Amino acid sequence: MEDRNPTVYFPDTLSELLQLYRRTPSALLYAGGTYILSHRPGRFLELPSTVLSIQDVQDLRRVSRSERTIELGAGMTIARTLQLGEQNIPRALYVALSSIGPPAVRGIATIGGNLAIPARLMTAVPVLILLEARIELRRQGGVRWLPVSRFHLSDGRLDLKPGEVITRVRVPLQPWSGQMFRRFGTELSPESEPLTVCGLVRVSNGIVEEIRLNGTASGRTLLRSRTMEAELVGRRIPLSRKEVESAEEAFGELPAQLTDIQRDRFRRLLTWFLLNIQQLTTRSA
Amino acid sequence: MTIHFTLNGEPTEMDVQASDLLVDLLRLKLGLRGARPGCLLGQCGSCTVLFNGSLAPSCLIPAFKVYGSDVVTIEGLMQTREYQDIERGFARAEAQPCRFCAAGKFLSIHALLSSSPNPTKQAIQDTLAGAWCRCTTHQRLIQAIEYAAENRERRLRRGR
Ligand SMILES: Cc1cc2nc3c(=O)[nH]c(=O)nc-3n(C[C@H](O)[C@H](O)[C@H](O)COP(=O)(O)OP(=O)(O)OC[C@H]3O[C@@H](n4cnc5c(N)ncnc54)[C@H](O)[C@@H]3O)c2cc1C
Ligand code: FES
Ligand code: FES
Repeated sequence: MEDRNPTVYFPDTLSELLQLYRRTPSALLYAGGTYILSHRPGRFLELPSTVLSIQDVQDLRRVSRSERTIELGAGMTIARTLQLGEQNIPRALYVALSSIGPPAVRGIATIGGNLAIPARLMTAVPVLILLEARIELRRQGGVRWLPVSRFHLSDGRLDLKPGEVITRVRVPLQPWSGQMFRRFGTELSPESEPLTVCGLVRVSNGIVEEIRLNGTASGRTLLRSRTMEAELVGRRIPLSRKEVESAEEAFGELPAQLTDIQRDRFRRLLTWFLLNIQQLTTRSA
Repeated sequence: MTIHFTLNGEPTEMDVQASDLLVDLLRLKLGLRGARPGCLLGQCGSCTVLFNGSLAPSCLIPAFKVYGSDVVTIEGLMQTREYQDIERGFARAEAQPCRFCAAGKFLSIHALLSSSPNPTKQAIQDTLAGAWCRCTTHQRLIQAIEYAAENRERRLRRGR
């Protein structure tokens, strides 16, 4: 049932929000609204009969940092998260968040909203997956933690139970020697042939200790090869041409649904990342 | 529903429908016509306002979200010294904006200079990406921002 004058609740606390959501699981959870509003079918906004606006819930805007992790409240805007500065969040995540929308959209769009768009891996998602971030999901009387990699189910739905809300994102702060994030197009417009590529590498005494690389195509297909990553551990940098070719081979065939442009760009960036590990470890891009 | 909020520094109360868009409230109910409806999808920047201190597209803000917020429109910014810095920068670069894009450009540049008084080229490009312009060259706009930054710095040095 669509309504131009719905009942809108503005809970101040998380427990109030969870209580309301439990009572009305069909309510629309409204964060920044940038996705909800830009996908309205016409000029005017039609809302369901109950809306839960999370803008006043302080608990969803908290940041806490320890030596090993940073936790971002799901209601933090992208702009506020960026204000934490490059030194406080992993650089690949910082670059990815900076690439979202125009600045005005970043002023109201939230991290939680970016994660919770069904059937789309939006810009922050692949980076958070690669960083092995986890999300806290709460509903009245229950809490669980889930790796971001398991939140988007293969049928396009999200692993969200009725009345459940993403409350925070816990991002590990590992000492990466080099990080890369590149992006083409926009996940929501397929004609822009969207592609992201993210790489993380840790090198010690000239030897690759850990390397991770993933990408998304059209905001739907996740690209990653653990075989390639395992093959590169223990190699000395810079990698030789031959080692790079062998790693590319280990990555395997790219899924058929990629366009030629996406395929070409992904391959080029994969090669670029592997050939430039040494430079990246001195200047993270 | 009745909403209370601060508009250009003034406490404001209005009866609205929850799903009315802020851009329409400003123009049709409050007579503030600086924020203009362009794409209505958050892309072009012509409806930009400052919403709780951050740039925001007023075409993506429903009335219920305005409840309790602090909104500054281009009309509010025009009362400030910051606005004059930017306006003079544009005049010197011969890049006077038209009515379509003025709100987006001035408020975006104001936000940029408030957070980074000496912005990098990259930060300037990013700001301009959110304020579409159909006519003035990029080079001239970049120059206008650089002049605005100079004006601002000079004014602050004089303690004004
Ligand atoms: C002009 C424009 C450009 C954009 N560019 C980009 C881009 O470059 N990259 C990109 O990734 N996105 C982009 N977007 C899409 C969108 O702005 C972002 O993905 C944004 O982060 C969504 O956050 P939000 O708070 O606005 O979400 P909302 O629109 O409020 O919500 C989106 C969905 O998430 C649900 N939700 C929100 N918060 C929670 C929560 N805490 N727990 C559970 N569910 C929740 C909502 O119910 C809704 O279903 C763009 C949008 C516009 C208008
Ligand atoms: S009309 Fe709002 S951004 Fe274009
Ligand atoms: S000066 Fe307004 S669109 Fe270019």
